Amino acid sequence: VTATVPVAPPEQPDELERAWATRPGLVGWLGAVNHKQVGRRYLVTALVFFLVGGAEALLMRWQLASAEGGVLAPHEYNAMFTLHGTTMMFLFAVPVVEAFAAYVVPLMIGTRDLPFPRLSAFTYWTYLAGGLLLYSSLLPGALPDGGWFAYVPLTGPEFSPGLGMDFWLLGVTFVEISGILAAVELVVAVLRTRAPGMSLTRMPVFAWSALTAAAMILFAFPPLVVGSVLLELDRKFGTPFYNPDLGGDPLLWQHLFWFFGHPDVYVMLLPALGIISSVIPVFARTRLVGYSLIVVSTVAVGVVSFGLWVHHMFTVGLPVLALSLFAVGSFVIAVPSGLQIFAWIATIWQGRVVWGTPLLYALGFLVLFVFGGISGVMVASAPFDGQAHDTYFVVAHFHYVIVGGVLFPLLAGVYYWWPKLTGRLLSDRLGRTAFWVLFVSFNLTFLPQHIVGLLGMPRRVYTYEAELGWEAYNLLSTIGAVGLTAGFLLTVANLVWSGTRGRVAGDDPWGGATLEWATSSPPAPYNFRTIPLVRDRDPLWAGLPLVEDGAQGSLGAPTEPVRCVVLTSPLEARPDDVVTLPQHSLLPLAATGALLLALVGLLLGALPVAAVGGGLAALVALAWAWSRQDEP
Amino acid sequence: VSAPATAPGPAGLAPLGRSRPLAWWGTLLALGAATSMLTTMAFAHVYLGALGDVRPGLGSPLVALVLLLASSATMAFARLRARTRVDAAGALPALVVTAALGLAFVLLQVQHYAGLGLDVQREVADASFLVNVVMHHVLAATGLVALVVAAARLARLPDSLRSRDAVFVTGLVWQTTVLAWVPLFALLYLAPGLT
Repeated sequence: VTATVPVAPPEQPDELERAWATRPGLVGWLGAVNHKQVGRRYLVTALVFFLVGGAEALLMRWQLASAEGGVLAPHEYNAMFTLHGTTMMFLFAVPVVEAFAAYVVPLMIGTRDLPFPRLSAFTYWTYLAGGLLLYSSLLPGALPDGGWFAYVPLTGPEFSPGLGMDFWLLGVTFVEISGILAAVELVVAVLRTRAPGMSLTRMPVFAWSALTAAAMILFAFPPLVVGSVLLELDRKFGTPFYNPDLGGDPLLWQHLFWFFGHPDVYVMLLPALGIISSVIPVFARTRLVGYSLIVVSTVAVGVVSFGLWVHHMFTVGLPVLALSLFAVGSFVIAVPSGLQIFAWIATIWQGRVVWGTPLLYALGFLVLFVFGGISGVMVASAPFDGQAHDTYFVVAHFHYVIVGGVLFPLLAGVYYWWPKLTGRLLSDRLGRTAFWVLFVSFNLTFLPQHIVGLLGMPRRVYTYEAELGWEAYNLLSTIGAVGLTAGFLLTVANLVWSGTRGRVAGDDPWGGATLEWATSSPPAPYNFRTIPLVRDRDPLWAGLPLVEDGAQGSLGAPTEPVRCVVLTSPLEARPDDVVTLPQHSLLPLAATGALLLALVGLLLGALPVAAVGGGLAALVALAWAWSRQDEP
Repeated sequence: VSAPATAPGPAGLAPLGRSRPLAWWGTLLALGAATSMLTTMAFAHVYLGALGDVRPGLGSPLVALVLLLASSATMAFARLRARTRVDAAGALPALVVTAALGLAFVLLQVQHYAGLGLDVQREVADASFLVNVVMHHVLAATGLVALVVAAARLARLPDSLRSRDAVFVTGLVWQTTVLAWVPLFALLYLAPGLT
């Protein structure tokens, strides 16, 4: 690395502001493509879906609070658990992780924007369209009710004849495509736009985890897209892919779904672990212990997670050898996960801990994730799984992993990076109160479910008889769910209040080590006026200047467009090229609208509408490909 | 092989070297996902035991295969011209020939399917065969559109770096299309003869 790449002459500061400014008005808002705007939209939309999914969970818990409850009819209960699972997994957990990555990673790696800004905006609009498509099934009263994993033949044309599952399949496919394209964006961003000097060995762990998760998405999500297409073909055109009477096989769906579904858990989990690796060292006031081990563990978890999908299918009658192999794989993945936990404990042990709210959530995560990991090892054992399969034990296990392992780190991340979103700090008092309410309520909700599961209570039942002895556990769970709701509402109240009235944070309120803390809070639209030069893994702690003397200047001739990013080499991050990025554009929104029209036309059997949508989509694609042709 | 024009370097620095265009990286990853879909569908074909059930014969598909392989060579030539010559317009005829060969491949294949009498509602093997080839041909259609856009760009702005990049990226899409067809052809047309 020879020098930093400066961006604008100091005497022309307005040039940079102008180049990166968002157009005013509605058109400007709809056409915004900057990573921070897209990331914020992802966050807000995911939060809304989270609240909706939470309300659905609360309804289910209300129904189950007492034996033979009458809050929901059986078909309504089926729709609730389907929507709750789908919303939380497809519309909240993965998108919120992408939101963090889209917002934080460019700041963390010292670049000005994601490399394909229009693609970023397109991924957001398709995600939103997918969610709305899924929930628009409310309008014709055709709610999907086949569970979040939509097993056939229950979801096939024979047993789910209405439009509900069609809405589900198209909605989920939209979200999957959005996820794949967002992954493309992130991988290229991390590999090609890191600040000069930020070699792979100096890259923050969160960027590593985002890179790994994004790479996983590229190979994990397509199987579900294929599976969904085949199921939709079965439903709409009568093909027999999942129909055993005509040579099809329902288990094919399970293979395709879980080949997506198991890595998907780690797609959410790895960035969450990356957040923990960002938070703990800052509050322990020391460097992360075992950086290399953590990075290797992250990548190893990503790779091994592709070899575990069959452990969701232990009871379908597969050969014993297959069960043994996948059980071993499921045990093995605990090793790299455990390594990370020991590294975090060692970091805390070695440091001088400063108690902040983000650290509280990180520690809460450690407790819950270890618990969920241990019950995970239990269900990884095929004989035990044979007993626990489809009981509340499994429900409890994955909520410990997903809520404890993903949501608590995300909350840690929200408290930690909130200043970079709003320029203000969240209320510490409200944050700590919310933490304890959430932590206690979470355990009250899900600990009893282990027991009631071992007592034999199956999942996805809308009611149970009083003589079975499950009532007390269910009542405790429901009380816990009410507490969880209170905890989340406290958190939302904190976000709303602190967003406008919170204490002004300053650029670096925590004394952070990574580059996002070198910018203003919130950052300017261009993130960094001068692209930093990285000479250490913790650049802000190394005591070395981020900008070389005399580094300010222009990219080239004064007439050069300045909305540009520096490309660096994938491994060593040597400055390589400078590329201009597209301005804001309505094309992403138009492309989403056209695709939505085409697919909804197909869904409703309105072929002319589908044809118009398809034609419009082709036109927009051509306009997209053709635009910016006059640039150098 | 001479490098194409370099990007302007930051003040006080030597000009930056011209690496692969950013779009090339994005396209590479998107093609990775597309290949994952094709592989999944091929897996489904094998999983459903459909290998021996469709015997589509080797008439026009063999001709189509030869045309597709030939288009790979013309695409490589176009990419080389765009990469190494100052006048990138020399790549234009090769792009046009590639598109023509690609279109001929798709049309020949479609004509072939029409004559097979596939019953996709009663025969899972027929349905699986058709979904496999359609998925590949969607990729081929994307490649054809990319070829047309790249050719049009090159015709309009032969000296633009973006025009050269378009050829470079289109080459990646098209070569993947060709490469993906080879194992698929073996799976769909040759394997049934072995079972």
